Amino acid sequence: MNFEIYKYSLPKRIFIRIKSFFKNIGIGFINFFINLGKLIKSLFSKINKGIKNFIYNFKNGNMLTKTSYFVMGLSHLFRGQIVRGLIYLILQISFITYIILFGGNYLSMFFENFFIGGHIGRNETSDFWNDELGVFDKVAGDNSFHIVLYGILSLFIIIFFIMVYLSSVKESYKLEQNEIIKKENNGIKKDINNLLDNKFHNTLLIVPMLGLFLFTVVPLVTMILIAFTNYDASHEVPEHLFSWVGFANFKEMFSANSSLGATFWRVLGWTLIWAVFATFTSYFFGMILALLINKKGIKLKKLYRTLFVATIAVPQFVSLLIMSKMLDTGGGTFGSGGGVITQVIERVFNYHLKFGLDINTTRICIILVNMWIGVPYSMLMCSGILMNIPEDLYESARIDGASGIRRFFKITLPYMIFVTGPYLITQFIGNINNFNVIYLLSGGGPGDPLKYTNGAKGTDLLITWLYKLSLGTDRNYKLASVIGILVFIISAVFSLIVYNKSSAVKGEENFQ
Amino acid sequence: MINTLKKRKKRSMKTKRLFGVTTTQIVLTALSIIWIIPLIYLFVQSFRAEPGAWSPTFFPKTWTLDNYKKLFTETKFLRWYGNTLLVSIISCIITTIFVLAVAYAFSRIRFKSRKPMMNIMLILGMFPGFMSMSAVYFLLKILLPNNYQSLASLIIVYSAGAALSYYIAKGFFDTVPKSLDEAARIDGASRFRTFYKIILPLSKSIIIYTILISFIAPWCDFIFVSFIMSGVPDTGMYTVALGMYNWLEREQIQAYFTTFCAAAVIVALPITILFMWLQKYYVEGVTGGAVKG
Amino acid sequence: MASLSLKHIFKVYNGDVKAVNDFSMDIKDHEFIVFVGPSGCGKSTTLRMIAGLEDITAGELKIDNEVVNDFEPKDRNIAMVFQNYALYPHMTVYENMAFSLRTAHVPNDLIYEKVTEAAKILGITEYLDRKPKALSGGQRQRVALGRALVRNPKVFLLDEPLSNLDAKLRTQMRTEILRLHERLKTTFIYVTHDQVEAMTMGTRIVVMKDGYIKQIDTPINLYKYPNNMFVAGFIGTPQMNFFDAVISKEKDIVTYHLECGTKITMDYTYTNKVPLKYMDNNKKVIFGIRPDDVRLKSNKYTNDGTWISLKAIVSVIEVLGGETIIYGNLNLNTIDSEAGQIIIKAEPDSLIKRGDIIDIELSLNKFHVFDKETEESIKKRIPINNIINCNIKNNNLIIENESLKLPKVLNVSDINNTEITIPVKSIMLGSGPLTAKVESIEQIEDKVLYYLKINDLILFAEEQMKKYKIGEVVKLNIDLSQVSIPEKDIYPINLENSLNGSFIKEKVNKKEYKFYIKIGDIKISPTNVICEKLFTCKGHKIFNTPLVYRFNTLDIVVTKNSNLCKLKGNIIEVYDYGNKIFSKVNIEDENIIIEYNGTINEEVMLDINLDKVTIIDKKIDIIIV
Repeated sequence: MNFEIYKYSLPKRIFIRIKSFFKNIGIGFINFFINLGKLIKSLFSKINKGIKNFIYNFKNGNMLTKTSYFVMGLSHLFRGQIVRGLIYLILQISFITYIILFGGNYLSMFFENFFIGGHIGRNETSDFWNDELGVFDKVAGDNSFHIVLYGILSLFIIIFFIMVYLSSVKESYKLEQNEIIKKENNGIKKDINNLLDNKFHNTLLIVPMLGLFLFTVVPLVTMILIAFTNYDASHEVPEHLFSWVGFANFKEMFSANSSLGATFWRVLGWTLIWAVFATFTSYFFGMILALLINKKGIKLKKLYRTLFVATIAVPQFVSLLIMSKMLDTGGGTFGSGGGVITQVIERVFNYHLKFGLDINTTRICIILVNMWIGVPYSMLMCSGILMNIPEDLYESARIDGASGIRRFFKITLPYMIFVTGPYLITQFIGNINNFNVIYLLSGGGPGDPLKYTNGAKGTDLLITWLYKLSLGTDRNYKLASVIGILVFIISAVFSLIVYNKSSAVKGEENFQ
Repeated sequence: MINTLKKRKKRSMKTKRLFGVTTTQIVLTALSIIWIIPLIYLFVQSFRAEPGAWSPTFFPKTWTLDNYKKLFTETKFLRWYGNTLLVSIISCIITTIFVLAVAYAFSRIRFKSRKPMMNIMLILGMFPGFMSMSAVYFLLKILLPNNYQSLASLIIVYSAGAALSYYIAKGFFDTVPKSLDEAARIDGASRFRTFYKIILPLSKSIIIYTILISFIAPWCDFIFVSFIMSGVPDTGMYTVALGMYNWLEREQIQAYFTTFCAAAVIVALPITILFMWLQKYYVEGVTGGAVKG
Repeated sequence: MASLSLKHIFKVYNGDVKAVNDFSMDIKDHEFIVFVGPSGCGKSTTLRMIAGLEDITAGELKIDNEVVNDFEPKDRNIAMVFQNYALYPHMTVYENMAFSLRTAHVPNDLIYEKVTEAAKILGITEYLDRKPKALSGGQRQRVALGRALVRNPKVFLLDEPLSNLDAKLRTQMRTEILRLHERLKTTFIYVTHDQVEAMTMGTRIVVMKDGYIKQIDTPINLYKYPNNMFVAGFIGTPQMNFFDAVISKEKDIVTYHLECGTKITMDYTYTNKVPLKYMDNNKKVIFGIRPDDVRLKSNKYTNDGTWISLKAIVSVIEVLGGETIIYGNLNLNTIDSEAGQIIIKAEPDSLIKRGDIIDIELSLNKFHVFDKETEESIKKRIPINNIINCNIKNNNLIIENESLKLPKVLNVSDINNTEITIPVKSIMLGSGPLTAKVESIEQIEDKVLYYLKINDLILFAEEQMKKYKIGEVVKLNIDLSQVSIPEKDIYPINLENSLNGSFIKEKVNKKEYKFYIKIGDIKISPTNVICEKLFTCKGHKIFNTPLVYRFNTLDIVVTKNSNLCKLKGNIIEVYDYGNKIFSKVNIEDENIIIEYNGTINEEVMLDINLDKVTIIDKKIDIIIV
């Protein structure tokens, strides 16, 4: 931004700043897609180059290299890398066995109706009359969910195998060439040493990535695909098959006419409102609290800090549950007892707190209770950063004659927002996904059958609704998946802002 | 004349400051009382002798230790406690190792697939954590066909995806000067030796932070355990979070509220002490992470 | 105790960013080499390549005659001291120093011995059990040195080791490092951006900028004879004074017209190394003079005629105690302007104040002249070219009154007063059609520079040994193949031959392969040394890399022995320069020049001295061998 902006008055300056902020976000998005395009382009050129090399190496390799295009690891076995060769060989054998005995069947069922829609799997579970026992028996059919899950797994395994295959083929050519130029090929001992040195990242990453792949990537992709099926309580596996339905679920979710659509927009609206309030109340009050505690001349600083931090330290399922019980209305009418807070308010203000009965009251209470949890958290963080504000900034401001409040608005606040900007947005995303506070406090309630369907209630966030849809009485996996994808998109949009704004990404190398 | 004026002005500044400090002190005291009251309520209710969910008074009329006695004799609390401890410790160890390994690799070693991997992990992290739980549930059913609703499942769920939360640790490693690695390399140390002889000993604070976080997470978790253990008839497999949550269901709350309070005290006490003790590291980690986003 | 040899070292990042370009240097044992230059000039990168922390993209690095390109740092027998010390903060000083030995599994008692000995040398024995945090900057620096010391390295690498220290400590550590160097008698390579450090410490200094070497020389030579403006400006404080100027010459009087209006007039003898073509009152040059070579006019000095008087107006005076630095301006009307500003080192007790007009004197023996465009010095110690004006008549080159018959191949029509360039090296003394008188002789390092006078014209000639005396009349000849006459489009014959080609393999039997240099369809068996070098540099990718083979004309000879024949070609042109005859040979659609008296269309068999071939990676333009 150039300095000309300073000739305008303050409101106009703010307006221009906001405008440029949004413009930057816009540019950020455009850049994102441009980068994505570049990425795809470079990916294709890489693939192209890979294929060319693949063919070139095959043409120019000798017999041994050529054979190892079909029998992996052969080249390694005959060229001194016996262990490596054996590993490749075993991998190939087990891959082929896997596809023949297991993966192939699932894959074919997975793709059978993938593009045209229709059942996933061939045989539905059916009853038949068992003469011997004189009862109806069940014949187990195909399990659609297993088909999707194994289909994905097999697909990934195939991709991995292809990658391993390509690298083995490339290696075998290189081995041949190295033999020609009389360069010694690494033996197993060197390989193992390398795993602790030059290739140490492989050692470090393999197990964590395997875990991530198996228990995050595969399930996640499976559940994303479920959003394109009609998997719900009436298509429960293994009794029934479910089908590919394309974008039908999304259409229904977004339509304003259907009751589901109306519910969705309401829940989304509250999710965003909640995230904004939860984030900013905690942040600002946390900052003020930090300022108060860190003020010069305050005694018992440590004690205060400890008292506040206690709410973070106590597990949330304890603190939130006890809070929810303290706010309980008991019988629901005035004077019928209930939680201690309800009773105190009744006695002191002669007002019956309708927590869990009235949507808006519940919402306000939730935000207040969230402050109870969130303020100490941001207080902790802000104190850390406040202490890092260079003291000379304040000194020079004091010499310039700035008052305490002015110093706060001109130095402390801008500094804090500048430093904690990324944190704020991360926190915002965290609040969109804040399951604990809502579920443990109100359980999403109170409901309103006129406004909410499919198990959603008045204070449900997308995330708690997702939970209820995948567990509990209203099982509706397809909707749960759709919501999951939408939550992802919302998070991604905000993360992109962090990503664009954060210096950490741009100047990664500068830290070192 | 001028002197006295100056003096008065000085004094007024002093009194003004004193006034400010006193007000702040009062405000802080009031706030901290408000903040701590629910926890005190929890604590005193655990000694309440009168039955029922609601008491008309803040402090119990009769004090008793019966709730604690009941907790250890009549309920499965001790078993749950043991389960939770076991799960937390094991998954804490695994998670810490995973996080440190991934963070170090991404921070220090430049390899071909580094950037793509980091991007993919960034994207994975944006999906709600338990969106994929249904599929994980099925996967566990396949992997552990006989006892997929077990503590082992919980450990897997808590620690398998640990790699995703490498970010703060990486941010820390990034601040350790690279020349230390280079000096070690010139001194003839392999990457592995550099990692465990140079970098790890320097990363005490981030290691403690990671341990703290990865211990507290399973200890306090409710959502994953309720998913994995849903419909399990044997409540002996529960963790404290799930078991205690059930005590507050409408049907049980009248009988178990004070027991819940007693259990809460026992659950919260060690974790609170641990947290208070290691607060410094927690703040370091949180601030470091916040600043770098 | 090691010598280093760097040959055509390149560092290329991301395929196209060249951080270090063609770095070649031989470092002898026990030298103290300093790499100096502004940040980003590639000095640290070069050092890190020597250390093994960065890969060498191309080129050959030898330590003690062993190629170490592929060696891990620990196997190179080097030690390095880092800018921020890079001490392991969690270890005590002892553990820090012992770390490398422990890594190498040296027995503990030996480690103890070595560490305590190193600590004694550096005077840090009493801190051995402290952590680096508890040490001062200077002490930490000593520990860092100690850590390097215990390994008994052949080469010490120091990457800006003193830049984190305060000024006083820096001076102190400087002498300490020098003392260490004396004591250890090993090779030191020291990187710094501080020219004072470079000047005071180095036995030789490498000045770098933007990835290129600007000059390698001893400190005193860098100071006295900078090759270009960059070195001139970089070395020496206060900085050298630079003035934009043009030069005019009238008879024997040369005048430098400075842009600020001042004229500096001198006898031609003071500036005879500056080529005449610059003295046209038009071509822009930079006149440079060091503050040390300017003095205040005073009765104390007697002017022996080698100093020229000027006037300047004083703008700022810096009193340093031992000396006074005066910032003045040659243009008496513009006291504070940039143009014409001159810095003068003066005696400490001068009573001068701002606004005073002072008389100053410039040393005529010590000024420098640079081409404004190329920024290269045009007053080199040994000039490269004689650039003179002369006439051509009847295909005779007339230099003053002497004439030199031009060969047929340089068939030039008559022309008057044209500029011709004769390389100093192409003037051969002893015999020939021209006669000249030896005007003066200068011994420069191991070479002798003759000032030859033909009437009023001075020609420079270079010889290895002193053969003639001043005043002697010598015969001389000119190697006309190297002369250029731009007006007639005559340029020196190219002695560098480049041929495009590749490197291929051919199967002999199941296990054996033969390798060939392939140029067109011709295959040449390379020496084993070449194969090895190519393989270490590019691995098996060498077979897919387009290459350029570069030979010097002198390394290609015509042979009658078909066993020695490596290339065959037809002569398509013959250039007869009288004393030398060259032929242009066509080989597979490419032309090379050889020194051979042949006839057109004659088929010749050529032998190449493969030990002297240069091989270049065509794609990234980098010398591999």
